[in-house]
Amino acid sequence: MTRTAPRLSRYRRPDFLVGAVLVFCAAIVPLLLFAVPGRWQWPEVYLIFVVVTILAVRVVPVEPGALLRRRVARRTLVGAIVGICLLMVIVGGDLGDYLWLGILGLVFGDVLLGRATQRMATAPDDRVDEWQESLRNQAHRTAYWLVGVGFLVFFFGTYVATEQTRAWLSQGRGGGLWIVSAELLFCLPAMVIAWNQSDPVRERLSPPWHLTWMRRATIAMVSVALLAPVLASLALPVLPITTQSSVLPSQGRCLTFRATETVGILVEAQLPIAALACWNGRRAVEQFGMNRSDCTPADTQLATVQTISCRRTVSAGGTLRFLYATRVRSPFLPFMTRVVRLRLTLTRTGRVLQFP
Amino acid sequence: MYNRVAVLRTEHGLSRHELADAVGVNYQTIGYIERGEYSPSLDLAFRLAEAFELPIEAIFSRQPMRPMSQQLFTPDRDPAVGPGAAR
Repeated sequence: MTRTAPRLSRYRRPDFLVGAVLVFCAAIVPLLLFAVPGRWQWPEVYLIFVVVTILAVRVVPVEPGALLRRRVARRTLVGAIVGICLLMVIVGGDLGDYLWLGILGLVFGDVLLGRATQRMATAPDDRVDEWQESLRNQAHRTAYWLVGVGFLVFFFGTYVATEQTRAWLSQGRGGGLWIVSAELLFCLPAMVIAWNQSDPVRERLSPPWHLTWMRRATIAMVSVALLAPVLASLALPVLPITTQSSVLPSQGRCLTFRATETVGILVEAQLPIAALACWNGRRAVEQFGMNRSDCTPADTQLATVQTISCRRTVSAGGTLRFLYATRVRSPFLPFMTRVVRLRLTLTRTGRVLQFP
Repeated sequence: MYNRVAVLRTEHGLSRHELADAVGVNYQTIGYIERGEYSPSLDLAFRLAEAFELPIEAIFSRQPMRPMSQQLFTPDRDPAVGPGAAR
């Protein structure tokens, strides 16, 4: 009879590795910001920060007493992920610009899910003990059954039922059905583990100080990552609008107007105008740059814009008036909006009454 | 499956971490065994028996186990375990 050696379960990264990854993450942001030439904008900084936060969340170990390891928190997380999936499938193509928000939510949810389940669902055999292995295998069996039956019922149900459901299926495909399918295929076992596993036992051992520090730093990073877009959205209606403008004489009785209005930080939009207007003593006329095709934003970052006015008129007195107004909206808090107006008023004698 | 792992661990003055290290599993596994939410494999059961230096039937049973104190002072009720066993 041979005796099998016990499999040691050390499903935890060495502390020095955790520290090394955090130091690397902390160093790479300033490097990217200052070593790479070119102007960095807030959204790029934010996206890098989100990536760094996700890396930090992945490497810092989570103790059994932590919120994420509790069953109620894990089940809430699974519910939130399922909710996002349902939204992406049901609302489908109508999500439009907001689709990427759903994708971001799923990515963030999956990272938290992996943390809550210690990535047991994808752990190799030599990294789990027999209880973890049984839990993982049971989760894969359940997920296999759910995916198989779910897909069969869903596709046959929608494709065969009516023309309407078939059309909805094609709409759903454009709106993230494939993303949801990938989510279910790759993350359902982890969701099953998160749902099934009971509350872990908690030993009253205080973790080493550096782990406590790393955990606090990670929580702070997650808080900043989550709060930054919300704060930027709240600030959108109150932040001052930055204007850069110039009026230069052109050939003859003409003026070149250039202006850019920038609103918001992180959730931001830039509205430009570049136009040429002339006058002849009887009336002022537009040469170029004040047409419907010119009323487009130069740049939007984490914001959506909607043109609400693009109007050029010449009054009876020969005064040229141009108004370009747009509504900048935050995709994070869609009710937070800011209307930005660019105005140009030029008299028939070449006097600029208003710009921008 | 019923067991006395929690009682024996406390009696030996071991934390779950220490017992888990001794038998080569995650300490959560010890917790789930103690709570009766997981029945260990035969291999792990033997390793636990070795760690406590007790026969396996003193730790695990398919019947509900009586408190050890009660078993010590009324040995005849359970011939499998206790001072009166195998005489």
